[in-house]
Amino acid sequence: MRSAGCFIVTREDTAAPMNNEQAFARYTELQQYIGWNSADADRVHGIAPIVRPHFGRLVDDFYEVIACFANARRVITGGPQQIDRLKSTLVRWLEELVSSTYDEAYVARRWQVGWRHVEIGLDQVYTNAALSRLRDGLVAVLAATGHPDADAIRSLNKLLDLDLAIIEDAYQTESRIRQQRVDRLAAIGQVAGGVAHELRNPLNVVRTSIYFLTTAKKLSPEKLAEHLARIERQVMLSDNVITALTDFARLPVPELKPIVLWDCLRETLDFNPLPPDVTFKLDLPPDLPPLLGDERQLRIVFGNLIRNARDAMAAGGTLTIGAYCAPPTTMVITFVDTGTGIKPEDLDRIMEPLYSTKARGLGLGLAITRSIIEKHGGRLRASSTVGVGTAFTVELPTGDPAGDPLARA
Amino acid sequence: MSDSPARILVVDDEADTCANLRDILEDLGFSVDTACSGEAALELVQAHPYDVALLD
Repeated sequence: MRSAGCFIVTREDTAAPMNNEQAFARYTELQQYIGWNSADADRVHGIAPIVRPHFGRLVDDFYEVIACFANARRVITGGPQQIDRLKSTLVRWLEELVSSTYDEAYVARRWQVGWRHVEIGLDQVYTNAALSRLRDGLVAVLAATGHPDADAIRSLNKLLDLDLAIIEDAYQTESRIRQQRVDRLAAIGQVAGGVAHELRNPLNVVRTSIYFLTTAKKLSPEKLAEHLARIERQVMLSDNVITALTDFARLPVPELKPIVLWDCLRETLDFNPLPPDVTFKLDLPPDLPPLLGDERQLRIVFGNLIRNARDAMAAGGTLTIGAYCAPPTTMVITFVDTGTGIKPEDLDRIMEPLYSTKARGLGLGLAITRSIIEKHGGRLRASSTVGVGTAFTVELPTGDPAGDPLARA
Repeated sequence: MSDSPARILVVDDEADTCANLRDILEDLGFSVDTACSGEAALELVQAHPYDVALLD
């Protein structure tokens, strides 16, 4: 059994770095949560002159400590010049900490700093630890004055916690984006693997047929014909693999026309014959109105469902296809087999792209089927009992026989 | 080596692959049986002696 994350075209990308408004809105919410107000800002501004002369020392200490820890040190690849630049940046950061108006621009700049730490690959725990060290240094300076202002220290602590929250946010956002990228690559890898596997088999058959035809000591006309037919079939199978892929990646908009269900089913059955040990039952009312649909695409839908039913009944069984109208404008078509059934945990996932309980195949069949049905304005549902069988229910819009069906499309 | 051609069993879940291998080997003068599943292969092995088995 294989599984994969969502395929490229269906995944929602919700984790672009937050825009400034959103970031500031969250910051304001956190300020209220922590109990930060303008009095806190005033107090922090008030202690700025006390701590400012110590910034250089605190920053030097900051980078000396980084130098002692390999995991933190390794992200600084630009040597002493980079460290000097980083030190100037940190001094500016401290300056802004104690003198800003903590507005939207402040939050945006802090977010950028957080983002930058993520980009250079610094593990978040080191960012947190480094901030703790800075905090400790600042508080030590304040505590060492003649009359340490306890309230100012509290305000400074609140401010640093808020800054920490912004950095955390940046890390989580980036983590989410990176995970989505990994999932996408995994999906691509899985598709590539599936395609390679699925194409190798037909190509191998073609190759061995050609080998036989070119080296056989005795080649009767019947054998020649047999092999040529075999080669042709394998080419068709290869083409099907490629079609499944492109169908899924870029499903064309359906061309809706009135379709007689039985005609479409019959053509599908011609292309997907059932083995002799599968009994076929048809349950269509005689006065069934036409469907509104794209014939080629519906044949894909019905073909997938019929083949899945057939595959589930390797030891024989019964496939029943039925249909009825659910007024005013829906036709319900059911595909019921008496096969092995689908486990509940699989049932939730079988319509996912690349998910398959079969050893062969890309696992796109049901994803394509559902996609086509939904683009027709319909629905696909599945229910199953292990050991008893499975029922797929397809709902599709009907063409109105009384009116002009094409007017609907 | 005996006079009768060697008996080969070819096992592959792809019927077409089995058919091709059968054609190639029979053209080379071997006697070939094919099976498309493990169960079918075991049944054949129990019924006949084989000199070589080709498995996928």
